[in-house]
Amino acid sequence: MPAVEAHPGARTDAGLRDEADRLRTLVLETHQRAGAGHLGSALSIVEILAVVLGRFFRWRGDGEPAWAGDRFVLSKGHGALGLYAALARAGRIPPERLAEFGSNGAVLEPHPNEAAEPELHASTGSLGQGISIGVGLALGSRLRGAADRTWVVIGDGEANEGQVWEAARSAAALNLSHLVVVLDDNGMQQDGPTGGILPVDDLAGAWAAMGWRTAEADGHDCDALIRAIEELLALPDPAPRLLRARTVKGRGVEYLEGRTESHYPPPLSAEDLALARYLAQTRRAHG
Amino acid sequence: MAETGYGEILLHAGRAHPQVLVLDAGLATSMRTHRFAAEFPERYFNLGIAEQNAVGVAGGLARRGFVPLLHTFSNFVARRAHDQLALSVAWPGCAVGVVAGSCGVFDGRNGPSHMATDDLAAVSALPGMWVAEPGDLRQTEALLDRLVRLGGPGYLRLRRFGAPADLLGEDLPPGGTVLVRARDDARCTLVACGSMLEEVLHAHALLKERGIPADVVHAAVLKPLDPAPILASAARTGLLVTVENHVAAGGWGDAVARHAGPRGIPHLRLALPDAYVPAGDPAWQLAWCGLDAGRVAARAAAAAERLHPPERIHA
Repeated sequence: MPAVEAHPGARTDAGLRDEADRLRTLVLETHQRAGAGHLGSALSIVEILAVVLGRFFRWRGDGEPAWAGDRFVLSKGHGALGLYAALARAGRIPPERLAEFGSNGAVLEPHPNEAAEPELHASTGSLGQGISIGVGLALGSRLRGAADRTWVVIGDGEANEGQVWEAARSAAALNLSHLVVVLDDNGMQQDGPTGGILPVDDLAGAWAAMGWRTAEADGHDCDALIRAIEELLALPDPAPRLLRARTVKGRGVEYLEGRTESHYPPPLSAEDLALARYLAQTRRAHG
Repeated sequence: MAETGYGEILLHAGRAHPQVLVLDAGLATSMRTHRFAAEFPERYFNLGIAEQNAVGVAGGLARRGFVPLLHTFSNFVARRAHDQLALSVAWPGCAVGVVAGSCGVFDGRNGPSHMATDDLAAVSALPGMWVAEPGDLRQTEALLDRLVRLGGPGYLRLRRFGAPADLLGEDLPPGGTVLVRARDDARCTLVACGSMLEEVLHAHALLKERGIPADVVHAAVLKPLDPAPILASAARTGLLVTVENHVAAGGWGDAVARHAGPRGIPHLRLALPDAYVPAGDPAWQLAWCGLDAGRVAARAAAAAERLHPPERIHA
C-alpha cells in the first residue's frame, strides 16, 4: 500500500508543485496496485486538482448546513483515480479506502459514486452530466445567499456531448458567477486525438461567445493555473468562468504521454514506476 | 377545477413548501407553470428546450437542499433524458420531482413524438423512483404534495388536457390503490390504472347494464404499488382486468401481474398496442386501441363469462 502522507497544507506555490508531484506518484502507485484504471485521464488533471483543492477550495465546515461549502464535480468521471488520490492526500478519505480502488465492490468505483462516498459531490461517468449538476449546485448556492463556489472539471473529449453546450448556455443565461469550469484540454479522447473526431478550432472562444469569461493556462504549471484562476475570480461581472487548461493525457509517464493507449493502460512495471517516482523527486529537489 | 387546474395546484404547493423550485424546459405555456412563476419569480427557472441539462440542474439544486419540480412532456424526459434521470438524479437519490405532462392517448393529437406510451416502463425500471399517475385533479393535488415530501426522486405522470376534477368524491382517499366500487357478488375486478379511471368507470356502468357485477380498484401509485386492495378484490371476484394508458411491456399490468401471477389469479391485461398509434384525439385513439369504455366492457364481459358460466353470473 502506498503511503499517503499528511497533506502539507500547501499554500506556497512551490508547495503546490511539490504536492502535485506527490499526488501524481500516488495515482501511479494506486493504479499499479489496482492493476487497471483510466490512468491517462487522471494524470492530465493532477495539477488542476492540486491547485483547485489545495489553494482555492472552501470545504464545508463543521456545524454548517448540509448545502453549504464549495462543491467539486469531476464531470469527466474517468479521471476519478486522480480525484480519489487528491481527496486522500487532503485527508478527506481514509488511505485504506484508496487502497481498495479497483477491487470488487470497492467504495471508490471506477467512476465517482456519491451515494457510496459522501466526499464525492456528484456521481458522474456518463459524460456531459456533471456540468449540468454543477449549474444546479451553483444556482442553488446563490439562492441560499451564499458565496460558495462550484468547481467543475470537464474534458475536451467530453465536450463532444451536446449536454455540455446546453449546460454552458444555461449557466451564462443564469449569470452564475460562482461557477468555475476547468476544461482539461488534453487533446485526446478514448478513440484518439479530439481534433480528428469532432474538431473545434477555438473551444474557449466558443464559450466566450456563449457569455462566459475565459482564461487559458498551461495545465501542468501550478503557478500559471493559480494566476489564471485568480484573474478569473477577480473579474467583477456576473458571468460564469471557464479556464482552459492545456494538458497532456498520461502526463508523467513518458511512453503514455499524448497517446491513445494512455486511456486504460496496463499497470506500470516496477521499473517504470520507479523512474516516474525518481523524476518527480528530482523535480522536487530542483524545483 | 377548471382547465387551469394544475396551475392552481402547483401554485398552492409553492405556497405550502418554500423549498419548492419550479423548472421548465421550454414548454411553460403547455405545462401551466405561469401562475407559480408570477407569484414566485425568484423560485422559477425556464432552462430552455434542453431537457438533459434541465434534469442535471434539478439534481444540482436538490443537492443544495431544494425540491425542484421539473416540468416537461413525458417523452422528453423519460426517453430523451433517461440517462440523466438515472445517473444525475435517481442513483444518488436526489429529491427531484419530475412532472411529466403528456401521457398516452391524452396527448395523442401530436402523434408518437409527443404521446408517451412507454415512459412508465422507462422510469419505473430505475431503482428508487416513485412513480404515480393520478386519475383526476383531486388526486393530482394529493400526489403532488407527496412528490414534494418524498425526499427522493419521483415521477408524476399527468394528462395535459381535460383532467376531470374529482371522480371519486371526498369519502375516498386520493392516491394510492383504492377500492372505489364494490359488490359482494362481483365477478370481475376492473383495475383502473392512473388516467384510465374515468373510462373504466364508464365501462363499469356498461357491465352493470349487461348484468355483470364488477368491482373497480383505482391504482394511482405504480411504484411502489400497493397490491393489497387489488388482491383482496380478486380473491372475491376471481378475475383481474387491468386497464392502462401505456404499452403492456413494463407498465401497470406488469406491476399487477408480479403479484397476481404467483397467486394464479386470471388476469386480462388491456393496454396500448405494440404499435405507433396514429395521431388523433383521445376518444378516437381510445377506440383505435380498443380501450374505449364499450370495448373494455365487452372484453371484460367475455373474460368473465369464460371463467364464470352465465347462469352463475345472472343467478
